[in-house]
This record gives sequence, structure tokens and C-alpha cells, in this order.
Amino acid sequence: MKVKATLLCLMFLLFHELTAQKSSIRGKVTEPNGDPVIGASVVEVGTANGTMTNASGEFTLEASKANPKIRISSIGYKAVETDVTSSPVAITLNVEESSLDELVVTGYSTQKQGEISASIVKVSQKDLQDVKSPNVSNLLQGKIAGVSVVNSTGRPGENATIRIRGRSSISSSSDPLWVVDGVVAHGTPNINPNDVETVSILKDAAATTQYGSRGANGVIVITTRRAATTGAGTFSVNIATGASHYNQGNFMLMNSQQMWDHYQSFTNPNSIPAGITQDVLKTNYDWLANGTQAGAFRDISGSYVGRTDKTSLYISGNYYKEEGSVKGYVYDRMSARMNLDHKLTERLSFKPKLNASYTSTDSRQHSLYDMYLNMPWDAPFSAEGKILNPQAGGITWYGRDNRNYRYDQQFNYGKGQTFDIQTNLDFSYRINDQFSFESMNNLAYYHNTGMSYTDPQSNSGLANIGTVSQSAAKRIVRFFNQMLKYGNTFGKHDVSAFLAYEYSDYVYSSVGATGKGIAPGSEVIDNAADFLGMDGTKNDYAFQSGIFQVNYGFSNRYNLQASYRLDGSSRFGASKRYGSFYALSGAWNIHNEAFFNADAINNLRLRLSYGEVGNVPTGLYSSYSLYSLNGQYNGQPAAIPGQYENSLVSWEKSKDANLGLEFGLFNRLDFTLDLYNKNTDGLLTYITLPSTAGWSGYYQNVGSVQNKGIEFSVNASILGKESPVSWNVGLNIAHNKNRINSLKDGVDIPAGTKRYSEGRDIDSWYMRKWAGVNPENGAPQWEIINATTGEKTLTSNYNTASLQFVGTSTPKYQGGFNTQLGFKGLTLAANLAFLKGAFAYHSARELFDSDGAYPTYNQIAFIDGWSRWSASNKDATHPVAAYNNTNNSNKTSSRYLEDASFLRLRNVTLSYDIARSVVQKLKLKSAGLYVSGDNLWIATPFSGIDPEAALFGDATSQYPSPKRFSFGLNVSF
Amino acid sequence: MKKKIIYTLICGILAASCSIDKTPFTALTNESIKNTPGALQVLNLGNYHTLKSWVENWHRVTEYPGDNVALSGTTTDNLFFSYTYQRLVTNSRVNNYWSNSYKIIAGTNAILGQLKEGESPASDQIIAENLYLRSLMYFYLVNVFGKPYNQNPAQSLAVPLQLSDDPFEVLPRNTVKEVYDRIEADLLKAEGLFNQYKSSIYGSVYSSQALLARLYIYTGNNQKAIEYANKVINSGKFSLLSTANYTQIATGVPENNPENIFAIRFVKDVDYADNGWYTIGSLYANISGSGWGEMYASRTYLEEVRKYPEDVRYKFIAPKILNNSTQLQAYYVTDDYKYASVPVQKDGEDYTYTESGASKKLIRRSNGAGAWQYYIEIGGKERTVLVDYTLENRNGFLKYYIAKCSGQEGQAHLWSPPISRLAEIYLIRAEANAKTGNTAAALADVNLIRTRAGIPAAGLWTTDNLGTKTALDVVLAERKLELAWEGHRKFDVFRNGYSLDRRYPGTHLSVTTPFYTVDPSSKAIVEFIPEQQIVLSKNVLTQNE
Repeated sequence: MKVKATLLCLMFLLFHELTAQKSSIRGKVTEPNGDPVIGASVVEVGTANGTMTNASGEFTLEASKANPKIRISSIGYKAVETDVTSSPVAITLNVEESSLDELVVTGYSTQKQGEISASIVKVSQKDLQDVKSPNVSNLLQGKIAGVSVVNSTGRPGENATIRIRGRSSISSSSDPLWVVDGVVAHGTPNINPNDVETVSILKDAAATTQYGSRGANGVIVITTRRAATTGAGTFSVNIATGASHYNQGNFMLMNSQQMWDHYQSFTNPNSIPAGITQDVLKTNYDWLANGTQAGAFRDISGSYVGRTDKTSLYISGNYYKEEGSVKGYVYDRMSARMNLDHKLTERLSFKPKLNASYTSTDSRQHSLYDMYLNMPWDAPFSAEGKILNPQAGGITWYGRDNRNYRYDQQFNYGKGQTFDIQTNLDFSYRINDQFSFESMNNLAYYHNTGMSYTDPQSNSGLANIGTVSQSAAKRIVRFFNQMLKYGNTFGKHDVSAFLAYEYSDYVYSSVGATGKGIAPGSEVIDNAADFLGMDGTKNDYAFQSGIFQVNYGFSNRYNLQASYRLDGSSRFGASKRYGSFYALSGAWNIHNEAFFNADAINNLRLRLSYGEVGNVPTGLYSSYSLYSLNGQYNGQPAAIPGQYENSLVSWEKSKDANLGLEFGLFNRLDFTLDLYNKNTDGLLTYITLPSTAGWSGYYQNVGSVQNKGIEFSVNASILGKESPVSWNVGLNIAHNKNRINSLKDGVDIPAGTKRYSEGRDIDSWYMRKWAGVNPENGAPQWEIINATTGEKTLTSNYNTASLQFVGTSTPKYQGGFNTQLGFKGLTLAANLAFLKGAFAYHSARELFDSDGAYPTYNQIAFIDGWSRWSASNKDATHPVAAYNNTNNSNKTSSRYLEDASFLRLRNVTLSYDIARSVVQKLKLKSAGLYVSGDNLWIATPFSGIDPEAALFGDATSQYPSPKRFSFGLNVSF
Repeated sequence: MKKKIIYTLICGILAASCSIDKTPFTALTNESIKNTPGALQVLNLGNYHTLKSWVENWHRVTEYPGDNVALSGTTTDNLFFSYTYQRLVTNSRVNNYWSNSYKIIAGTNAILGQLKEGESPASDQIIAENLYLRSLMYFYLVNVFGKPYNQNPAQSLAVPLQLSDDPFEVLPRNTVKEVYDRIEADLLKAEGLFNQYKSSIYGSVYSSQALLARLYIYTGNNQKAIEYANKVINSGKFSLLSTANYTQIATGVPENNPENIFAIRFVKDVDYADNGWYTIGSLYANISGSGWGEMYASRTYLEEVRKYPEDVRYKFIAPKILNNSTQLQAYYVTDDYKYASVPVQKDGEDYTYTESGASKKLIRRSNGAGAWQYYIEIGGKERTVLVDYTLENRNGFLKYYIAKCSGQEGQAHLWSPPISRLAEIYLIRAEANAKTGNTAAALADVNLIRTRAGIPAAGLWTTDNLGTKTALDVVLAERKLELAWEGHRKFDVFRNGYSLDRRYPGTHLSVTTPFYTVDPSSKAIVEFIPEQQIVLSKNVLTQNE
């Protein structure tokens, strides 16, 4: 019976074949140099028949008819369509050069540049190689229009702050979402920059809707490296070393003599303590110079990529060590990654990935705060070179707080270790030629331990006979995405789509304890004689979503995309948990139209998109009234009201429209212009209640804010591709205008020194307005606005001066400029970043430019143009100074609001690729070396350390991004 | 078949939506409170917990504008503005004090809103405790932000009386009289509801009576003040510490101190963060490497407390001697209120020093009780001298560390600040008697306190040795000595219509526009309403002059 059936089938097949005039085609696909192209797809056009090339580049295709038309394509090559008239056939694939055919990872899928209808910018690996940092976030600065990247601290290993297209939220996070190989990361991921293949920045809603709630601030999609389509395995080794120098910017402190002269300018010399005599001039100690250094760094990485017909492998290891430019801090990281693609059957592929890093820090860091504030009249060492301890008394110490930080610092230290591992067990199953199933299953485990040691001899350890603390924190993030993909071509119509379900959750817990009474040198808490303190916490959140996206392309001319995402977040109350988001976008490749006949214009595209994205509150439990349980009275548990409930708090939604124009001339000049208008409704805010309420505040959706902007970038190959000298220039510039359109009941919301107000920028400063120095008596002056008449008068009484709007911290425009000059193997590249028209509050001046209010702190040395009032200098910037000045001239006002515009040479690199002939003699594939410098130069009117860091955060005792010199060597074989 | 499996799998995964319900681990919610027995008691203790954060700035806004303290430098800390009477609308210390006061008030309102009187003894006790805590908050608020009661209380504004459990209610300021009336009514109600005495670290019928006694002396109702002082004194629950044990006021466990009526309990280690650097005591002394040690006992206080060497209250002063110096100095104050000294040698009862090459003696006078007081003739004037071994100084200000707010159970700056203790109650009775002409009774209570302080009989007051002083003068002087650094002095001076004399060394005089004396009519004696609160109230709150 069985045999009969089989026979019948065979006969049927045979008959079918005969009637359809099937043909079998054999062939070989090679590169122009004759190397085989492995894994290229070979498809009979208009049918589902297809196959792939083997390790020798050969294929056999069963076609439906004789002389079929076949299409051969492979990632990184220009696809070829040809009519087969004879077999075997030889096909040569050329490496893809047109940027329009370049593949871009758009989040859950990959599209050709020429098909993308959303606003997405790709940064490739070589563009990330210039700046030296262990973190990817630091490498993006000045490279993409509309993306601002600020290094808020220069401490080794710290991440940069990133903003994409301005701020659209008041209190929710404005940080973009990071996605690594399809997995949504918690915070900024810990990734070795050498492992990165490409970075895509998704800017508009059409691009980010697929991430729904979490894409409101833009998305940064990172794809890590995997084996190239062809070629034998390659080993690469990169070695870099160099040094970081402390970067003070314009912020200079007084020396001993300047401080003495400052004292002489006080109008109340009688108040100066008698102990301050000219003897102070015997000491002139530069605390900052002595606490900073040229911190060395080393970066060694090795990688291997290789591919057989079934398996491709990328494996890498990295060791990074950096000493801070502030002495006493060492950052040390080992990391490794493995990306494996294994084709189990023609249909089923496993794609496991493993990325692990171990970071340790050793901190005995010099105190920046003290280095800035300590007087030049005090030195940390006695004449005999012993470290002084002014706390113990009997030592003349002019600075406040009697603090010689060097004393305790010689004994006390802290250490931290972080183990961070992400594992993916991904697989894909090709159901048929149209459908495939992709499964992403990721577990991330982050474990941090720390200890801090306080020696019994140190001032801070005296009372407790030394203390030792240990802490441990753990974070587990799970991410699952199951996706059904569809793709098909109907003649000139290309259709692709996916449907996905996604779930992710996060749980964090920590525990710590401190013991007292230790033998010197004890690093574990069990050695402590007695208990001193403990802490521990836990929190969690979860998201679950359904996503649908469809793409349609017609004849390489029109592309349409529609996306929908249903998103649920645990951060909202039960009734408001789900939000739905959609986006529509289209692109028109005008240059591909038959009527378009301008040869000079190689690319002309128009993109249009509209969509919605959402944002969630920063509070993980925002709908509840919270009675915090971290209190106790007399050893009994106590609960304290904190956040007030709002069960109706809901999604903050942004409606985003984007118009893009791309324009290419002579294959040498590329322009991109994007215009956008983003309206955010249901603005999520934590409303602070007056203290009389008892509760601190509550989350509420209060209003709307609009971000309108324009982004422009141009890239030019100035000398053309034929010239022996290559010169590429790129410029990007972005302008964003921010406006709060409505707030609840139209009422302003105070936010510290800023204030949210209808019709104004979200980053509007609100403080007393400085009105300069009274030329008659040198007193400080502020403005009073009469609440009823609006009449403006001046006062020297700080308390009566009016609070008012005095500018914004939003830049008028910002961007980057880069240039590469190449000749033979030699390349000189420079990268500049600029920003114009933002005002930063230089809060450090409250301490350092205090007109005598803080006479025992070191003070700022005047920059050009500043002068102090005196009877003979009535037209001055600075009011009279007095010992213990209480005229409040240094209190918060627009006096310290400064123009933070800057032009900064972010990086300059000179590199040399050793000539191919030489390399081949050495049996290498390539070899190169480079020297590079980061942050070498800046032009800014800002009187502080770093205008960028001041715009985004604290301007007091900053740890600035260092000036860094590095030297590196890259070899592959 | 294979396809079917795959499709089933996909559908299964899509259908199996996971739960995204998450509730906090570190806090109770309204729901969990409903479902947790004893949650109300946990909330009740929450108000006591907040007292621990409240008390820090309570101390700074009540004590620093007094005349028991001398700051030795300037500071970025906004306490500087309370200390110097250079008020600032953005004073973060004052704002923090306001916030914590109302946080406790709102906490009590929440509990009072949920409970009805007479339901059970346990709930009556909680109501009474919360009425006491709310009254305590308003009592200090009305005094910090409102003028003294003797300055037109029905007109002058104090603070808003927030009495309901509604976080969205924003009320304007009530008058001083309205606030006092409410406190009185609440305390009287609480007095009748208490049914259990736990200990002196919880609100009790006695703490309510003690606060009522103080309220009556502040409002000039002397008979009532005596009546309520007597209720506490005669309760038999409290007794004065012995002279020998006097320092236990600071160093002992508060509930073991028989003198305490209400104190805010700080637990060793547990309530001791950051090695004690941000405690009240840390500004007064550096102990075992911990503490700023920047504010010292004022010279006027020192001269008073050193009049009788036996006075145990001087045990709370710890002069910081320079490098174990054995050189004696005669410290005096110059005409511009700075410390100066001459080295002296002890010679029997005398001290000698050299002036222009000639050996001279300090002027010596008896204190009438077997000890001496010394003076120096210098700069054309006779000046009081305090003889000490060479002291450390900071910016020229001598380090007379204050130890009264430190050292509980041997922990450097641990302290459980007393709010009411028996010594105050005796002095309230003394003050009321003094004001009603009952001088003998007034002096008897003052002498009780002085005797306990170890002052010999010859140093006690009698109607005969008062001289030009009134009974009220000696009561207030005794209050200054006995209750220093417990948050009384500023109010004691102004509520009696006196001026505060700050002519002593300290950086309050080195500011650009110093107050040498502060009149009770000065605008500066009430703090500004924090600007942030006015803004948050959308200008429902109005500012003080």
C-alpha cells in the first residue's frame, strides 16, 4: 500500500514536471576578483523557487521553466537579475556602493536606505572609531543632526547624556531607548565599542512607534558584529594607549597673592580675623594641580569573524583600563562577546549570543570639591612632608571646615565590581518563502558589589574605631519577543510585514550593611566588632506589547509603512494600563521616476511621516498613594506618607509629523533635510504639593508641549572619487523650538529655578533678574516688577526683588562638523561640535564668585572683562566685596546665567593604513596605526569648566571630560 | 503538520499574555493599609518618625537667633541667615522646617480623620497623641512665623491652620490668636482623652499639660500657667536629676531620665547617619573626628555659667585646649567684640601678667560664694576675664564647644532633644509667680533649679539680694542658663518685650549690616514665609514684612 502511494506520487510529480518544462540551472557566484560569494540568495523571479550558494559560491536551482529570469542577491552586494540561457552560468556580484542600497537596521527589521520612509540615521563602525571611550554613548557626539550628546562627567567609565530632538517631557525620562540586537535594554547598555557593527538613531514617530511607550525620546539601535558574507576567517587586534589630562576650561581659581589682594578689597577690613596676615603669602598651594594627573589608559581588543556555509561566528574580547584625570581612581573592564548563527536545517537557524563584562573600580579618588574650595594659603603637608590633620587641632588652617582631605584619603578607600551578562537564545524558522518566525529570548543579569573601608586612624573612622561596608545589588531584565514575518514580491510590488508579541520585566534588589570596630585592613563585614547600619530595597516593572508593521514598496519608487503597537505598562493604574500607538509614513524616490531626467541628480527623495509615541512616568508605582516603610521610631516600624495617589494617571502621548528631503548631486554631494513637529499631550508631571498638604505630590497628565525643528546635514566628497587625494566634509546642524501649549488650568508649575508656563519654552529659567552694580555705591541690584502696574524698578534688597523669566537653556542651534583628508594610506580627520544660544546657570559662582560671602573658600580668578566696583571703577561687573558679605549678591539670580555657546574640537585623528603590498608580505590582511586627541580645544564665553555639562546638570565641582591623547595600532590577519 | 505546530505555538504565545500588575515593596498603599491589621499604629509612629527630621531644623530656627551661640565663620548653610537675622526668603533651613512641620500636621490630620472619639481606649489614645503632636507643631510655627502674642495677636498673621485630611486644600494664614486658640482647644481635648502613659518619648497627658503651661505663660495667662505647671509637678511622674547625674540630660537614654516629659527619641546607631556629621550637635563640637565644631557657647553665656565654679551646667562646655597647652591665658573681649588675651601665670589666688615690661595682677573680686571673678584693666577699661589654658580658635573665635546636644550613650553626636522637661515647668511656675507679684514663690522655684545645678547656698536668690533686679529678671536669667540650646531663648526674650543683646564675639557681627541688639519690634524677629511655599500655594500665602 505504502509503496503504491509513493509510486503514485512520483508519477504525479514527474508528470507535473514534464508539463511545466522544468529546468535545472547550475552556476557560480563570485566577486570581481574571483572570490566565491557564499550564502547568496538565488531566486527565480516571479516564483517561490530559490536556493543559496555554497562555500564555493556554487548553486543549483530547479526552475519552473527553461530560460528563466533569476535574481542573485547578497547583503553587501548589488543584486543582479539575469535571463539564463545556458547552464552553468557565471555571475559576478559587485560590492554595493550606492548608499541608497545600504542596509539600515530599523529596529525589528532591516531596510534599504532607499526604502526607508521614517527619519533614521545610521552611524557605521568606522565613524565610531575616532573618540576613545569604553562606552558607546560617548562616541556619538557631533555626528548626527538633532542628537546632542553631553559628557556630564569625565570620570572613567561614565556614560554620556543623550537627547534626541529636544525635550518633550517635563518629569519623565528624556533619555532615549537603547536596543541591542533587538533587545530593549534597561538604561544605557554596557557594550564594547569595538563590537558595534552599526548604530541606527530612530528620530521620528514613524521609526519609533514600533517601540511604543518607550520610544518617545528616540531610539538608539545597536547591531553587534557578525561574520561578513564571504571570505575566510579574520583575526583582528586593536591596541590603543594614551593619557587623559584634567580639563579646567575657563575656570581658574585664585593663587595665594590673588586671594590676598581679594582680601584687601574688602570694605570691612576690621571684620577680617586678626590671624590673617601677610604670612599667608608664604604658602601658595595649587590643590587642583596636585590632585590631578595625566591618567593613563590601555585598550586591548581582539576579535575573530568567520563563516562556513552553516555557521557564522563573531567572537571578541576586550580589556580596558583607565586611570582618572583626577588622581586615585582606576577603572578596569574585561568584556567578551560571542555572536553565533548556526543553520540547523534549511529552515531553522539558531542565533545564540553572549555578552559579558566584568568591571572593577578602585577609588581612593582625590576630592574635587575640596580641591576647588581649599585655600591656596593651606598646604596638605607640613614642612617635613607629613600629611597634616587640621581636625586634630593645633594647626593654622585658613580654609573652611578644617578639612585636609588628603589626611583621610591616605587611609580610606572603596572598591566596586560589576558583573554584567546578557544572553540571547534567539532562533528563526523559515516557514516558507513568505513567512518566517523569529524568536528573541534574552536574559540580562547585572550584579554589583561594593565595599568601602574607613580606617580607625582616619577622622571619619575615629568614633567607630573604623567601619567597613559591603553592598550588593542585582538587576534581572527578561525580554521576550516572538515575531511572525512576511515578505513577498508581486511583480513590481514588494510587501513585507511583521506581527509580534513582546514581554519584558525588570526586578532590582539590593542589600547593604555596615559594621564598626575593625582591625585595620579588614575588608569584610564579618570582621567588624559591632553592627552599625543596614539597608536594602527592591523594585520592579513590566511591559507587554503587541506590534504590527507593514511595508509596501512599488517599483523602487514608492514606499509606504504602517505600524501599530498596543502597549501595557505596570507603572499605571489598572484602568489606564494600556495605550495604543500608530504611525504612517511614505517615501517617494523621485529620481527613479521615468520623467525625472536630471543626470546630475543621483538621488532625490521625499519622506513624510506621522505617528504617535508614548512615555511612561519615572516613578515605578505612579498610581498609588505610597506610605514609605523606611521609617522607625524607637525601633518600631513606621510609615510615612510620600506620593499621593492618582489612579487615572495615564500615557504621555506625542504626535509627531516629519517631512524629509534627500538630495544627491554628482554622486558626490548628499543633502538631507528634515522638518518635524512633535506635539506631546497628557504631559506627565509630578506635581509638588505645598508642604501644608503633607503629601509630597502626585503624578498627573497636565498639558501639552510642542517641539518643532529642522535638521540639516550635508556630506561632500570634495575632490571626487577619482582623485588620488580624498577629502570628505560633513556638516550637520539642528534647530529645535520648544513651547508649552497648555498646562492644567493654565497655571504655571514651579520647578526649582525653572518654571513651566504656557507659551514658553520648557526649559525657561525663572529667578530674580540681575540689574548690575549700582554705580553710586557698588551695591548689587535686582529688578522689581510691580505686580499691578508692571512698572520696573531696581532694588538692592534681594528679598524684595521679583522672580521672573530670564531666558532658557534651550540652544538656538547645535550640530557638528567633520572632515577627512586622505592620501594613500594616510588620513587626517577632525570632528567639531558646536552649540549656540543656550543659557546655563553657572551655580558654582554662588560659591566661587561670592564677593566675600564665603571668604574661606578659594575664589574664581576674574576672566577678561570682569572688574570689581570701587570709587574709582564705578562701571563694574562685580559689586563691592566684604568679609562675610551678606548683601546676597551671590544668591540665585540671572547674574550667574551665562551664554553656554561653544565650538569644540571634539577629536582630531591622524591614521595610517600600511600599504597592501607591504601588509601582504607580512602575511597580514591589513595593518594601521593612529594618533588621536580628544577635547583639545574649545571656544566659549562660558566662565565655567564645561558649558555642555553645565547645561545638563550641576555646575559645581564638576569632573570635566578630559583632554585625551591616544595612540593605537590595528592589525588583522 | 509542522506548520500547524508552529501556528499553534505562535497563537499560544500571543494569547498567553503575562500579568503586569506590580505593587511597591518599600511602601504601603491605601489598599494594603486597609488589609493590614495594626497599620494605623504604624502610621501613628510615622508621625513620631518625622519628628526626628523635624527637630534638626527646629533647633536651628529656634536656637541660633538666640544669645547662647556664637558662630565662628561664614557658611553656605542657610542657618547663617537665621543666626544673623539677615532673613532670606529662600532660606532652605526655614523651608525645610516648614515642610516637616506640616508633614507631621498632615500625618496627624490623616489619622484624626479616620478615628472617632470614644470608640475604644486604644483609638482615644491615638487621637490624643496626634492632637498633642499637631499642637506642638503649631506652637512652634506660630512663634517662628508669627509675632509674639503680646503684639496684637488678633491682627498679626501666623500660619494657616490646616486641620482636614485634604491635600488639595490651600488655606490662607490665620492670625496668631486663632492659632493659639486652636492649640489650647486641642490640648485640652487631648488631656481628657489620654488613658495610658507609655513613657516620655510619646505624647502623654503630662506632655499636653506641660505644653499648655507653656502656652499660658506665652499668652500671659499666669494663673492657668501655674495651674498646669502644678498638674505636671504634682503628678509625681517626674523628678529632677541629681546634681551628680545632671549631664544625663544629654548623655542618658531619654526615657530613663526622670526629668523628661517629652523628648524625641534617637536610637543608638540606627538613628545615627553619616557618622553624625549632619546632626544638631555636629555644629557645636568636633568629637572623635566627627563634627564641624563651628558654633560655640557665647561669651555672655560663659560669663554667667562660670560665675560659680560649682555650676554643673558648665559641664556642657568643652573648651578645646591648643595642643595640651599648659600656658594660661586671660581671655577678654575688646570694644569691637573680638576675643583678645594676655598670657598669665597663676600665683596663689592671683594671676600675673606682663604689661610694657612690668608685672601686673588681674583684678580679683569675690563672687560671694567662696570663689573669685577676675578682671583686667586694658584699653582704658575694666573688662571681665575668663582664665583658660590656651584655646584653639577658628577665625579668632574661641572654641568653647557645646556638649549638651551630643554624646547620648557614648555616641559622638547622638542626642534625643527634650521638648518639655521638669526644670522648665518649675521655671514656668516661677515666671508666672514673678509676674503676679509672688516673688518668694518665684525665687523658691528658681533656687530649686540653682541648688540642683550645684550653686552654693550663698549664690541663691533672696528678696534681699535681688538688688536692682526684678524677680522676672532672675527667672529669665535662670531660664537662659538652664534651658540653653533647647530652643527657648529667642522666644523668652521677645515674648516678654525685651531686646536681645548680641554684643559678643561671633560672625553675626561681621556681616555687612549686623544686629548688635534686636528689638522685639524689629521685623527681623519673625522668619519669612518660605518663598517656595508662597509659589506652591499660588500666592494664597502672603509674606511677612
